[in-house]
Amino acid sequence: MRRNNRVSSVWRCVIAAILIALSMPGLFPAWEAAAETGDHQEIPLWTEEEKKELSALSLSSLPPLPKDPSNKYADDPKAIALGKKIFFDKRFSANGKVSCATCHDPETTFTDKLPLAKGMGTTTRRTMPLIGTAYFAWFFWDGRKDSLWSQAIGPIESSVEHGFTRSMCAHLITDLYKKEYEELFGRLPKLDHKSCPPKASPGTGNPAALRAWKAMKPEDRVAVNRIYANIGKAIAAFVRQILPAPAPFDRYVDAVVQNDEEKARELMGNDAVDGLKLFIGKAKCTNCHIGPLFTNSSFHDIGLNNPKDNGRADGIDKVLSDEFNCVGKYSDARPEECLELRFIDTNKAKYRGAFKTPTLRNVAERPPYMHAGQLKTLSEVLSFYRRNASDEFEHRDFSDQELAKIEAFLKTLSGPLNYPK
Amino acid sequence: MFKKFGILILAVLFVGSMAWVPVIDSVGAAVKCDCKAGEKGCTCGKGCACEHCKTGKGECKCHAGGKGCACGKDCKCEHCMTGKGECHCKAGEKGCTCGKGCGCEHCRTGKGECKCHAGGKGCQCGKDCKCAHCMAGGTDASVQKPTSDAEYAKTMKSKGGDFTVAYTSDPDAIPVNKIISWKLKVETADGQAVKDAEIAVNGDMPEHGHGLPTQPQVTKNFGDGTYLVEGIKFSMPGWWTMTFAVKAAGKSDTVTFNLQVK
Ligand code: HEC
Ligand code: HEC
Ligand SMILES: [Cu+2]
Repeated sequence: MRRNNRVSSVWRCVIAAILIALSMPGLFPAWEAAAETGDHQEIPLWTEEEKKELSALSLSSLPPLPKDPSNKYADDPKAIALGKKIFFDKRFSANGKVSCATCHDPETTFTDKLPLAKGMGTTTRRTMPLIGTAYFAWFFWDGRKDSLWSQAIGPIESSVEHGFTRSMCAHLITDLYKKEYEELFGRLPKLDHKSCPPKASPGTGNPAALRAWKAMKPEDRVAVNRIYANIGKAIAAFVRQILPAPAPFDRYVDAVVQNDEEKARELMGNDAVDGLKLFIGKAKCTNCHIGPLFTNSSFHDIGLNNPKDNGRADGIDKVLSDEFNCVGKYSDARPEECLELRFIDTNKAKYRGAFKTPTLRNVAERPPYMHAGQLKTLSEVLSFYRRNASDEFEHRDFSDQELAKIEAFLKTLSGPLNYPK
Repeated sequence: MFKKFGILILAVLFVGSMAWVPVIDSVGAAVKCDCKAGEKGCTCGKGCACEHCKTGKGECKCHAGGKGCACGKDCKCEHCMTGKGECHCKAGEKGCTCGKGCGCEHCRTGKGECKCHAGGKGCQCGKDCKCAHCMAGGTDASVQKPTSDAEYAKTMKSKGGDFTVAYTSDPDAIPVNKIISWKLKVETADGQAVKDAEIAVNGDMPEHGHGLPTQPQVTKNFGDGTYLVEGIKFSMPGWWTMTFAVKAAGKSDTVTFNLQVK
């Protein structure tokens, strides 16, 4: 006991010395600094209101796939299987070298990572990622299509993409996919190279193809259009299934909602968490990049000033006059189901230079950015937003450090994609 | 006492460590400019004016009046001037001479003075900016965001007091970015159902100067003073207004609802 006492008195001295030393933080600035940042490392206490906002961005709030009334084959497993084959089939192109996957490569979140896409030629816009597209109302940067199936048949006849014709599609389907097609859509009509010349189409911009198309019998034209639309419906059934799987951000939000601070801290670093705070708060990014897919799928002019492209302003008439739109005869929807088309905003002046808000899922994986690949890196995007502040994004006062934090957050949105393998 | 001393040292260390951090953002500070060969009257920089010029910073500084100005990397405009982020005019826009004392049909300032959106015409806001959809940084009373619950009520008297209008939304909790419908109940000031009203719809986001992403319409008159409005969609969270112009029995009046979309 006594001995112990003596020892402990020695210890008491040592401890006292340490305590005195520690009470002079000036002598141990490093220690003091560590304690300071230690405080900041605490998981920020999200308010209940913020937690609600966060969970609205998490994949856990992604509703089930919405119905597409214009495509009654949209969820048919046979359509998905056929659509997938055509998606990767290069034979549906003029040079036999281009498939959807040429530009929408599954390895790079279904993009090509090029500023402008390259098919038969070079497009005027950047390839869009295919992530959760089933949830959107409008397709392409200018929203000139109102369904995924109608969208899917666009690139096939584009001279710079597949460079193909719908009449060739009808022949190819008969030659290559007769059985699969007929199981889904019923008997294929008899079409030979006379009733349906291979290079006939009203949609390629080629005058000879247009003449050949006009020379066809009206009922043959309808038959070809029907096959063409059905090809679109099968491809759409596949594209619909390309969906995001949880990224670190989603797991972080789930942990935050469950008040599992330790797990949350493992999932997202301090910078990313600060960046997230800015993203939903001061930077107002969620004005447009909202919901689990981080897009309102509406059209906005963020000030890129591309004089060569009017964006949505030119997309409005195109979708209204498209024979493959929701109210057209190849659609399976009743006209009253075509809400978006019925109530479309036709004010072109308002949409000059406006483009569809892109999803930010996997955004760090697929530079360059913007509708014509104008910006090379995420940090260029963020400095661009700082320069082009407007009421919709209050961004001009941000420090470089804050921009770096938002970038760190954007990187947590990368996760695997699920699609029918 | 020790503690104070420690803090002092800490403060010194802190300030010291800040020294290497660039204090001022250098963008826009440079007044260098290179003009391309063959370009006319090119003398950029301080006090210079040129038809086509380009600064070394990849930014662009075109002076008011300079035509066919393609400057910097992504800056192109007929007449533009961006110095300290004062104003940007967009390609193809007419009569655009922004900046100090400038006025233009469509222009955007960076200084919070006034922001006119593309397509907005002839409006007078802020100090020198004109357009239809605009905002004067808080000086225009019409963009004061309402705060009281009463201002967000679902039943409102029309401006002139001729009608009382109530709405119910389907779904009740208003979602962002989904097409929804509203039912309107229109009554006269003394509570009589207004059965034959003509109603026009307009939605707006006053703080941002843009409207709805759809064009909603009254698609059904139930005949008992209630009406179906279809095609309403709010593209962002925030403060929105929905204005209905009601015409009935020789009277016309408007009613505006405020709502907070989350
Ligand atoms: C040459 C490259 C290329 C090929 C081939 C191609 N695309 Fe695209 N895709 C693009 C480009 C570029 C855009 C944006 C075009 C625009 O906005 O005008 C786009 C847009 C899309 C979109 C719109 C996404 C959205 O969110 O709005 C979908 C869906 C799509 N492509 C699917 C397909 C399918 C299906 C095929 C095959 C039938 C295909 N693409 C073939 C380059 C290509
Ligand atoms: C007013 C709506 C709006 C707001 C607010 C907004 N964005 Fe965007 N964002 C867009 C649109 C529209 C585009 C595409 C523009 C184009 O290509 O013309 C875009 C593009 C992007 C891209 C490039 C994505 C790609 O695939 O090309 C990133 C990254 C991005 N935004 C991040 C942000 C961040 C971070 C914020 C907050 C600071 C923000 N955005 C605020 C509408 C918005
Ligand atoms: Cu807005």
